[in-house]
Amino acid sequence: MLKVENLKKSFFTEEIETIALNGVSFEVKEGEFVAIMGPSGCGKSTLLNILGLLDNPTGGSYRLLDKEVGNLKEKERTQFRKGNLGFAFQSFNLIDEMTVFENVELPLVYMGIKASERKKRVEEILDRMNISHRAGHFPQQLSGGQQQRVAIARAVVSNPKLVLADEPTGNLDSKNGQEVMSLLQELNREGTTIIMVTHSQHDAQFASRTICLFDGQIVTDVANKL
Amino acid sequence: MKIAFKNFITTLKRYKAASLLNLFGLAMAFVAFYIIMVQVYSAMTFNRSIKDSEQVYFVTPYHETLGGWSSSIPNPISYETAEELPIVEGIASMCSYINEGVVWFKPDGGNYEKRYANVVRCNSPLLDVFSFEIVAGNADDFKQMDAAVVSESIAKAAGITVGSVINLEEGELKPGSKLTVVAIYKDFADNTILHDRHIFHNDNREYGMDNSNWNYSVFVKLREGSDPADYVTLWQKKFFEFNEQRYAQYVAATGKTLTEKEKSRLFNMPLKLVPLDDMYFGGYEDYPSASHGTITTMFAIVLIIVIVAFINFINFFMALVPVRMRSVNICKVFGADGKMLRWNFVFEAMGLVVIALAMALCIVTALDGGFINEYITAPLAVSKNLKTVGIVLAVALVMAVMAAVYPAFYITHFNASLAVRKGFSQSKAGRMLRYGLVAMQFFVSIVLMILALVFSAQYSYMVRYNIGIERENLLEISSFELNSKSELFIEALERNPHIAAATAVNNSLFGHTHSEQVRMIEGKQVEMNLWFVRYNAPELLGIDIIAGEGFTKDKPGFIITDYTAQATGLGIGDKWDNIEIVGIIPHINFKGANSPKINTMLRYFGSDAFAQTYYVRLNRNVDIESVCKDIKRIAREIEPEADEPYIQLAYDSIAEVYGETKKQTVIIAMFALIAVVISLMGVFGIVLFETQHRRSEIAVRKVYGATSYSVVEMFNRRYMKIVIACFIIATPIAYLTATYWLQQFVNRIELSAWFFVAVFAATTAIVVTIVTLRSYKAATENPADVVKSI
Repeated sequence: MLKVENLKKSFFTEEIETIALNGVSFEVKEGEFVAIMGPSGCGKSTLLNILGLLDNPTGGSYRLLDKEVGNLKEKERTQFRKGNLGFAFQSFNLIDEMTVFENVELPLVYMGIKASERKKRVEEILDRMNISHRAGHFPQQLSGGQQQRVAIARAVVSNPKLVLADEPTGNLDSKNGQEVMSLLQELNREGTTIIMVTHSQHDAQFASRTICLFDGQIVTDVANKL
Repeated sequence: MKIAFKNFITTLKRYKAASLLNLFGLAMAFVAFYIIMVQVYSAMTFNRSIKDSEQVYFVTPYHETLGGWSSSIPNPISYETAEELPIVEGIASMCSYINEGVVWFKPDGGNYEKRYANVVRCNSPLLDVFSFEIVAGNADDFKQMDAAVVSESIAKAAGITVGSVINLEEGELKPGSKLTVVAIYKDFADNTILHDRHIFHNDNREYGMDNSNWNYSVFVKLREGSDPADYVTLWQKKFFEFNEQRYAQYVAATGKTLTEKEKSRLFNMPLKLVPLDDMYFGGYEDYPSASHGTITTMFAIVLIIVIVAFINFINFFMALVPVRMRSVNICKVFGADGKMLRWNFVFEAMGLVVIALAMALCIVTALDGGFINEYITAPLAVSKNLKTVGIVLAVALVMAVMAAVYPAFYITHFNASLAVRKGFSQSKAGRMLRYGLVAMQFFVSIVLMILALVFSAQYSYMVRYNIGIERENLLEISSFELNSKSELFIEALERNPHIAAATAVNNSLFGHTHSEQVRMIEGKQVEMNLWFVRYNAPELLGIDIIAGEGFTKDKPGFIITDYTAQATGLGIGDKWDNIEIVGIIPHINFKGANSPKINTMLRYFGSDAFAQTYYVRLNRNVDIESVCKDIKRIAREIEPEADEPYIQLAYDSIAEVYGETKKQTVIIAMFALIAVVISLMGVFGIVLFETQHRRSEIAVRKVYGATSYSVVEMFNRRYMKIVIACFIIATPIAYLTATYWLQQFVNRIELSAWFFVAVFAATTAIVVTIVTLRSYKAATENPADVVKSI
């Protein structure tokens, strides 16, 4: 599915260079559920942004779906993301002015899928996430757990090959957190590859493998007992 | 108050762009509002500073030749009427026109000094009827023939005192033209009919005591509570009797009679007494005037501008709601009550308005004395318009409070628990309100832009309109002081290698001054408009002679237009005032495109005549600037004491005929521009907020495949929908208004679809540019930077 080798990412502010990732190498196979852990500032989100083609590395190689994508231009990254990648964020990032249905429909709109097909797929995924009764509501009218379920529905509605989740339970209580993690696990069992950044040891246990980062480097990469 | 002030300063610093846009928009609106209010206030209080103005009436008959109410009236009938009516407290006359030009003052014991002043002939009761305030000398001395009273400002400027001597001739002191200053009066206010009249000359109506003389305006002062209709009835009766007598003499002399219908038309003259307070809106020739319509339109437009600016004001406030919601609710959590928070917002609004007013004051001060004074008759200085300043301040502060109250209540009515939530989205109704307000701004801007374009096209059409002369390479020279040497001047001009020919006329062909005569021809009253010209004028002006021989150098004669020949039955060989008609020319219309066809005649005296204006036909491709220098040099050589002549292209002189249309065009274009700029500032500000507020949305869209182009397009699409909707509503309204306005012109343009297409294209281009510029930055931001910062 994806392979990174000696991945580096530095940020430059005035005369100071901050190294966020320093020679990270690993591989994720199709169908895996990988958790990335580590303390704040260790480079987890930076790594996830690069894996999600939201950002480019400053060095190293990143192959995704048998293609070198580490040096793509923004336009090419945008094109590559469509249909291949899904995202779920800690703060959900739902669009306040859009209904649940419209939020979930968004990736399909940008993929150029016909309205009738979009409707069918959105209804299916909302059904599956148990939030079809909230399709006409706005995000502010939903609970945190419901909002994250909508965010996950949006992440997977286009049947992406890889779903990237950044602290998906970070803003949720334990009950809703548990529900979201079960959902992700279920999606993984159905074949979706998932990479999740988390602080929570509990959430990491839902993954088949955990990579620990420290100061921009991988310190451990172990398979979990499920 | 201290907290409110602190919050206000913090808000200014924090939302710099919004505050600046708001301030500029408001300041521009206040400038426009002040300028127009000065004009409106001046118009509404015109003549009211004259003591007992409500008792003084301007006597005006309906003049058929003018097609309107006349500024002048026969004196004897008016005075006889006044003598018989006890309701008349006083009656006075003054020449309706002003003698403008060079006046020679002779201060006590000194030599004559040359000055410019406006002199008016009048009779002595004028001082009582208009309650002149004498500051030096004795008003009773004005009863002497050829006495003069002078305004204080002119007296000061020229060093005139009581006893000074004035001579109205151009340097040559002829007997009988000397005036002795007997009193100095306090200047009348700017907005009175007497303001631009500086010297009043008692000619004891010597020139005006004849019922066929139509050079004097008459003013009557009635006793309090009197009915002006009594004066009108008696005057009309006396006019009828006078005409009956005249008719009897005409019948006895010619043996011809008139039909009853013609008699009725000639003997009965409509007459009205107009209170001084209402004179400004009557449009009487020779007196300052404005139409109610123009003043109302200007007031309506400026009100719209102020509303447009306050819409921005509300919109900025409302747009800030999402970003300020959190801080407001945190304040609530820590004990601030709603009342205090709302007061902060109102204080903030008032603070912005006060700063905008200060900016407006600076702009007005800078504008005073500049181009704006060409279009506004009232003085702009703040010190002269304190009442208007008060009105502007009151309106501004009331609107500030009104504009701030709704957003203040809106932002403070939410539950304080929102403070802990991360995002806040305005309700759909709130967004709709904001877009609705922006739509109103677009609507106003589109209507004003279309009107400005139509006005400008009509003005341009009128300037280019063929009035019957060849205007290319034609210069107009004005000089008051060459008339006795006009032939010498013309000969000298024609010797210049760059000048093909030169001619003279008594006054500018395109000015207001020409002669009107009424004569009876075959029992019919014929009204004629005359221009006095040199014999070669038709040829020089490119006017063809289509019948007759035209003027010859040694013989006086008339040339008439073909329209005049047809309308009056006059032809070659006929006589007018015993002088032969020697030519017929195609129709010419010196009064311009907006004048109907009128009987027109050119007169040549047969020898040198009084001339104040000269026309010069230049050879092709000459350097006009250099020729103008030559002309001035020639004038100096001929009359070294004379002032430099004023030279302009005939094209510009013709354009001046349409001064009022130009004024309207410039005013509407100026205000349209202000409205458009303020509206666009609003759009700019709203897009700025939107792009900031929707950063996360843009990032999410980009994460899911939106390109920068599609984000920019999304913003543009939203605003273009508003523009299109506004255009659809604005078009018929602009069409109807433009059609109504064009009705006043005799010759007018067709309302082409291009006016509307051009405005739509311009609006679209401006909006797309602004929205693209503002949204492009947000659209090109790396979504990774945004999603991780949320």
